Amino acid sequence: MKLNILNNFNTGLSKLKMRNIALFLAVIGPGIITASVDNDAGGITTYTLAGAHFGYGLLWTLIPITIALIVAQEMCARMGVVTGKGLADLIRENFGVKATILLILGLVLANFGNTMAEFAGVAASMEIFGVSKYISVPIAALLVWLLVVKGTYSVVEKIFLMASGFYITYAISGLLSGPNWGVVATNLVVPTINDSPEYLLLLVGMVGATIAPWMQFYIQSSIVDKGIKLSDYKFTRLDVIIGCLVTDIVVFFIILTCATTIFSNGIRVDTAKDAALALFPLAGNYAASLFAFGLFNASVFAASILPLSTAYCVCEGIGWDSGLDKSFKDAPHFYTLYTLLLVVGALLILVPNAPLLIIMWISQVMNGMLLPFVLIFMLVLINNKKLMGEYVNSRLFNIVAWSTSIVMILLTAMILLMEIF
Amino acid sequence: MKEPKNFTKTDTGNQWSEWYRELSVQGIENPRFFSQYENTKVFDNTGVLLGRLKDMAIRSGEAMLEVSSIVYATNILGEKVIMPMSNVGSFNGSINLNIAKEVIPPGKLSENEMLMTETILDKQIVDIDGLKVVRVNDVMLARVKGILSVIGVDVGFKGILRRLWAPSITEKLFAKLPNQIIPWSYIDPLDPELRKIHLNISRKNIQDLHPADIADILEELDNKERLLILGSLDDETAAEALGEIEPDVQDTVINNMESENVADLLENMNPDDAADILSRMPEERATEVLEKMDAEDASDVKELMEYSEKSAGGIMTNLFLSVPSGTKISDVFSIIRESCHDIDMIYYVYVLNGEEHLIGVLSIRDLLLAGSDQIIDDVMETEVLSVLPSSSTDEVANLLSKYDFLALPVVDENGVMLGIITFDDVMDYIIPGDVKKHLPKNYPKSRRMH
Repeated sequence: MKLNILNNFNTGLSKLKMRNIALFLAVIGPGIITASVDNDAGGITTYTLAGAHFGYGLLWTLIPITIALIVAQEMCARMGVVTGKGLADLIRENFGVKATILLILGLVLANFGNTMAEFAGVAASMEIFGVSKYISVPIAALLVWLLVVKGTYSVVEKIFLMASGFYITYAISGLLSGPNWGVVATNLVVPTINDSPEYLLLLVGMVGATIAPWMQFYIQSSIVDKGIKLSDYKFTRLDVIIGCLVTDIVVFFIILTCATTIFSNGIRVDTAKDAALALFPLAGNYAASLFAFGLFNASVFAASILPLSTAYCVCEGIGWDSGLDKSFKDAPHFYTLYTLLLVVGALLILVPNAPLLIIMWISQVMNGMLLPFVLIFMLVLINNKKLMGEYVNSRLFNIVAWSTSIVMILLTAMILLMEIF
Repeated sequence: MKEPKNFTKTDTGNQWSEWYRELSVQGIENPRFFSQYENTKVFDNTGVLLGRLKDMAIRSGEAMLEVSSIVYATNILGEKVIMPMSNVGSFNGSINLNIAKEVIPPGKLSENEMLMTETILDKQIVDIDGLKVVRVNDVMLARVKGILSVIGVDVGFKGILRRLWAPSITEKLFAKLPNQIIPWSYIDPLDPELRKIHLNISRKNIQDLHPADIADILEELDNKERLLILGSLDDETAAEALGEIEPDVQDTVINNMESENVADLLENMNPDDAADILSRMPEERATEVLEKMDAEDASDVKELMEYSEKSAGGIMTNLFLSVPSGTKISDVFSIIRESCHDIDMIYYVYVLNGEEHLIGVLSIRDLLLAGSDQIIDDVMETEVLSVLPSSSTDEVANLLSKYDFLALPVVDENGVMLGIITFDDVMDYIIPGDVKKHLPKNYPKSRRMH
């Protein structure tokens, strides 16, 4: 179904002038990278469990989730292009210090937990290949730090785009697992409702894993960094849409793989690592290794972007110098914050008996609590004529955006209530 | 250039007190911060509580920005009331109006009034002295000749603390923490339209900075601000500054400009820098820009665009000082005076024959020491070291450093002279960008201006 859309899209693209393709290639990046990173360790765990526990039962959520993701990402991309400022910048300038500081505190807490979750993903995925976490986590943290601190923006972006490409391993895994395409197609469009609490938790979890507050900040900052022109905005919009589609196709394959193998064999798994291990006898070494590598790639990728996005956001909001093109002496707060998040996040994973679950749980709760505020701030900003001029939301877009936000907020509130009780 | 006294580096607090003394000489006493006025209660003349102060309206007065109205709100979501200062009686701890609640007119902002929160507070300032962007965390107010005016902005962390909670307690608790104040007189609203960015130096002075320093500032800003600053410079300074910026930032800036303006800038740049920028553009746009450029400049640039960026041809410039063989020494001087205004490197005079072949070179030193009626061919060095356009940049760098040359000529296979590579062009390739950032602090000041 989705593949057909993409094929039509491709034939449409070949009719475009070569010049447009060149222009598109020049602005491509932020949308695809941000959407890919959305599938981080936590997200992949959620989708794996969705497939392993309910088979194709949750596939139908992908279409509404994709729409919600596109709406949220597009608004930030548009704000970035039109105002030339990051989201934290705009919030500080339009909502004052108090709101900004509260938001920043929440974001730092949430992202710190998320960063730890990524390193937990690195540890788990490398353990599948028999590498101890005491080796894999420090090396991954060091590599990430070196890449981001020593690399230039264009090099970093190219490597990130490559990492986005690696998600194809999930598609190959999915194809190798031999799904029943007829059933898959039906389940993709026909909602199946199951009233078990676990189903509900996974449904809400899937939505929550899709739109995280930090992504909104990240896409806007990276678009500003890239300095995309208003006249090229249509290509950025395409970048965002393609990114979201491709990302959710990856999600589709993750669910597919686990559903055709683990679910249909009635095996019970609780983590992404268990799922990958269960795949070895069921789908063959090849598919299982690809699946495990996908988790590793996603974790390292997100571990490099999360602390970076956080450091940008804090410095933008408070007014400290920030940016990878500055030296440590010029932007000490920025580098210190980035390094701390990365190092402490990685170290805690290595501490025996560290309360990992509690920290990750708190970060999930923080994510959920922040999201409504971020979405409402975004909607207020994007409808501000002084900032956006003629690029404010159209009425239709506002209806879609507000209803998306309200649904997201309600679902997140449900998660919070479930988490707490 | 007159160095503004910099009150932002209050390591000791001494300068701060110095400015304080200066203020009291001018009859300005007891400056207070906006955060200390924020949320103070507003009463009418009979003592009825109307609301709390949320904002102030400002307009430019004779010398300062004057506070023209206060804005208060009855509650968080309540309507904001704009009250001209003429109706404000006293301003001590609480604000008492001199009119009764019943007769309060519906206030509106006049044409020349702006809200503090919309124009100054939380906005960015480009600190030209520290070469960075800072944020206004608090605004400093005082009575100047009896009128409450904006006298400075606080860009330090203490300003944030003060805004977050009880300002007077913050002042006591963090008395040791310095305020980082920029006096308002040093601040120049760069763009009255956008009303969002200010410079802490007057704009005619940014013109006086070294282009490399302007480039540092430009790298700090966002796109709109870069274009604003570039637009406020003359073409030549703008072009030089742009030439000093990191390539990816260059592309961003150029991407956001009209082709017409890009052409103007590139005409004023060194052809080799311009060629680099054009070769990174989409082909169609590059053609468009080249068409808009002055024909002679455009052909210089086109010549250079044929070479790969990592070869000698890619970093050479085709602006060099050449004279035909057989020229008299005295005529060489007049050639220099007439035609060398655009040429940076005039230390070497290259001698070309009728076919443009490079047959000799002499330095300005040799030229000065030669007799004025000698023929150039008699004093020139005929053993000329040159490179091909396809030579690697490493090779060029090695030759330059081995022989201590300031420039090397580039000739094609037939010996036709194409251009020269100066040592500073090679430097950019040898010294990576992040090392340049680590040069000693006083390096820009001690740099030789040419």
